[in-house]
Amino acid sequence: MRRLLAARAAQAVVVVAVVATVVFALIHLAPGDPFGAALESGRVSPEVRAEWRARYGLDRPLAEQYVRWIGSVARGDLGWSFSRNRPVAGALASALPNTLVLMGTALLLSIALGIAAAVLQAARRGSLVDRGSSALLLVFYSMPEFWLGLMLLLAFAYELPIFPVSGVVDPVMHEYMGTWGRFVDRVRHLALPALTLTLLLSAAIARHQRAALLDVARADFTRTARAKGLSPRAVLLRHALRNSLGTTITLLGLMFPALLGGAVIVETVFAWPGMGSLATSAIAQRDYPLVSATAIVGAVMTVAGSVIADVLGATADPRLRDA
Amino acid sequence: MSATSGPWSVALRRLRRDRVAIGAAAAIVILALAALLAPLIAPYPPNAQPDIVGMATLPPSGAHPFGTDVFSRDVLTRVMYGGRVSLGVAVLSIALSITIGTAYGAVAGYVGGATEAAMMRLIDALLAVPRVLLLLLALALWGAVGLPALILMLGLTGWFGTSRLVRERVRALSRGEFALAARALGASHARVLWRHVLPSALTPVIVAATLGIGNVVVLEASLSYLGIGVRPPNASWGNIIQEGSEQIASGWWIALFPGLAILVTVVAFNLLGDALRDALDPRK
Repeated sequence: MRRLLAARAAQAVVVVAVVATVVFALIHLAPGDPFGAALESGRVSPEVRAEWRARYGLDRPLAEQYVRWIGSVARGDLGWSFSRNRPVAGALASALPNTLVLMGTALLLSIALGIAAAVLQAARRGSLVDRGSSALLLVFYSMPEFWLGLMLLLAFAYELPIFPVSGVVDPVMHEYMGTWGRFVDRVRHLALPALTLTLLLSAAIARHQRAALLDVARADFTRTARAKGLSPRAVLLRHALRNSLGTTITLLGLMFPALLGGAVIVETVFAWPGMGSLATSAIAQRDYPLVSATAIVGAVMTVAGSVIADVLGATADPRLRDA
Repeated sequence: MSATSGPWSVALRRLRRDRVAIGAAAAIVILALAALLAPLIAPYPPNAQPDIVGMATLPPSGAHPFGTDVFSRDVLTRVMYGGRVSLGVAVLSIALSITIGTAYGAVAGYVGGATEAAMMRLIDALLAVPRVLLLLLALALWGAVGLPALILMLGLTGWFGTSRLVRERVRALSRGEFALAARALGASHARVLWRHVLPSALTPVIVAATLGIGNVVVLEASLSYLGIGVRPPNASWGNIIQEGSEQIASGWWIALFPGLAILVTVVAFNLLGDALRDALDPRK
């Protein structure tokens, strides 16, 4: 286990370094300089522009700029956000918790839902329930997250106004609510974005888990368990499920980039003030330090997610321990 | 691939008996025809705004089966024209990523050793980057890009998984006896790789490409929805939904129908990909 952790930590550093390099390359390959629109107006003289370039080290050799960039990423110094007029780290710190709440809720709900659906399907393989729910899961699996979000918004915020349209809390009334009222307010705002992500993610988990369960169902040890007199239910829940969970956890680690990408898009649909909304508004304002920082933080989150998934997977399944 | 009992003809025979695969293929053909023939069969000209006051945001009716949008344009017509862009972008960018991924994976798998290890480490790292964030950054930096640049960006960020698949197969196959025999007969490395190893290594790639088209359709739609993919007045399924999202309370049909078009496309490609994988599986 310790060797696994060391290996994965080394890989994590490599991943973040590659991402930082890609971001650096993209910024320097792109037309114009990183000040973008801020200094492009005719009112800024070439001298002022040159001075700004010198102040930010853009007149230095590329190699030197690269080393300094990697150094500042390694120190966690992500620069200054032009559009928010505050340090990038501060803007990220206020957005990150919202994204983590959204992703965490969706992740927990969809693991529970996805595995439950897969167990029900595998228990009645080939039945109408199995085939019907497989078709339904494929439909959710194939949906663009932003469109599902919009349709849920249409159904449950406009046609049947059960849930609020956007945001994390009620912009006016939240201040005047009691503790319980505030909690309910937060849950009501979280419901639709979390449901959107949960439906998509649980479909992916269920599809994989069902296949994994059916694979294990053919294995010798499940036949042995049946032969020694265990009920099909006990074999499925105690033997097959446990043996197939490891691959699903690994899959979750691999799916983490897609989950984060999905959260980014769902956030813009529901104006959820997290990393995704931050990234898209930074793009609209051409705030490059903020955009590149969200890409790097996204990579760090992905790597952290996959390391956690590997460790959990190895805990659930000893066969995954030497990787 | 000319032999009548090769894996492809076996797969084709299996697919022809698979009703789900036939249905999925039919749906894809219908969608592709509707998109390709849009200039001939669409009920209205693509960007016609007949009456921006009197005919804006009309609900579905006989004259406008999918309704009209806020500029009084016919949504069915726009969905058909949008299909040209959405499907075209998906097919071309998948073609690009398959080509790059196959070349990279084939070289890595064939040369082996430290070069291979380094090449695959890079792939591991690239696969860990959320693709949406990478595309957001690139599109933010380049600003308004045209369709060719969008296809290029989608293609350049989509080949990592393919290269892994190809490398695995090439690695196994190029150590096979038939590859050794070809070398012994004097064939060059390039010829062994191109004529003997690659054709057999491509099976999983075709499956991945089929499944990948659905993915890219969704990805392009997401980017267009965020306003940085295909830009108006060019219609794509994603940017029609974006326009519809601003009218969601007054005109649900504008966002609903292009979304259904995406859904049918992606479900069809996923079903076809699954069927293809089963049909190509020699164990069955």
